[in-house]
Amino acid sequence: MKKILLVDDEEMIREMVGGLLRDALGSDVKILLASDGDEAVRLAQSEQPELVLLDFTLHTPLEGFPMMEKIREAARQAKIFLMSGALDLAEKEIKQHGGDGFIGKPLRMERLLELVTKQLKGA
Amino acid sequence: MKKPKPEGVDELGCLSEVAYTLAHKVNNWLTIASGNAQIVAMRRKQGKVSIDDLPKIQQISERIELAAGALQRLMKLSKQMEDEIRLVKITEVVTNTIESLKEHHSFEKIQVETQVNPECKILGNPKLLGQLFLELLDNAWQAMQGQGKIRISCEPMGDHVQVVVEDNGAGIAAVIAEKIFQPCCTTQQGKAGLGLYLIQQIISAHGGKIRWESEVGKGTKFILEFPRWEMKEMEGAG
Repeated sequence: MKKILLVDDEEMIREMVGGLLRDALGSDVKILLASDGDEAVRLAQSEQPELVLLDFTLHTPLEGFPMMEKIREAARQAKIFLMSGALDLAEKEIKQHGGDGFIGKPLRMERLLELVTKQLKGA
Repeated sequence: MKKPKPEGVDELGCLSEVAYTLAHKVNNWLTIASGNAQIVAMRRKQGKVSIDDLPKIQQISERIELAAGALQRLMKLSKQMEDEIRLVKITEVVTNTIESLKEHHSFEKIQVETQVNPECKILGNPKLLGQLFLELLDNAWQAMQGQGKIRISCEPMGDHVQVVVEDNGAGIAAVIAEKIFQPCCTTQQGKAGLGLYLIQQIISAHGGKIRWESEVGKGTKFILEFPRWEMKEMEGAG
């Protein structure tokens, strides 16, 4: 079974995006949810997800690029996409810290589904 | 007594921190509103819209209202920054805040007792300090669900001024005790949960600290400490 780890400090965003992914991908894909950096690293280590959707700012001690680097170490094969409303996050910088791409917030749901489907096919 | 510096008040640092945090939160609320609108539109295209989608519609309007409220707070805060930094008597700020609340019907059933030493002064922005007491009283009002007693006291203590704001409300639940000063920490549906975050930011901008004691069902006491200032030190610093 393929796995997606969704990390966001806003419960409603986790529920909304998690629900969208469950509806679209069905029971073949397991959706894992985390609300803080430490929980995200733990789940990345224990579940080895194929895809990680990671909110950049979580207002917890572990967040941002340090959190992304730890997730990269914990799940080396995962594709990691950073979600943020900050438009000044350069793709080069994201890759330097172990990420694979950027998703702007507010989210475009159809584009998000396209991206997720494409990444899972390639995994 | 340690001689304080006039530049100890960092109100712009406070605004910058609050602006960044609110921008992040507003963007999240807009993500929820926009995301739910898109999901409902997608479900409509697929012919799947049902009564179960009503909470999504409700979330759209609720999150937009929270976003608008946060932006209004930010606008108010940036206007308050225009006020001059001076030596402010706590008794003056407390009296003005209580007077302004007397006009609100929602405070009719709140009894406010004050015991403020007139010697207590803080170097700071009077409007921001007014906002601090307003947020503290509003927080107590919410904890008491609009009915109860608030006690405000202030005394000089060595090199600092101690302010205590006490209510006999619901108290702070253990589940949120560690994160009450984090932005958007609330147990109430439809509330932004920004009050205690702003309180901490304003106190910190004035070189102060805050701690609390609480008992569920009995009430909460917030204890604030600020550097103490005397008029002669202001003259010396200037």
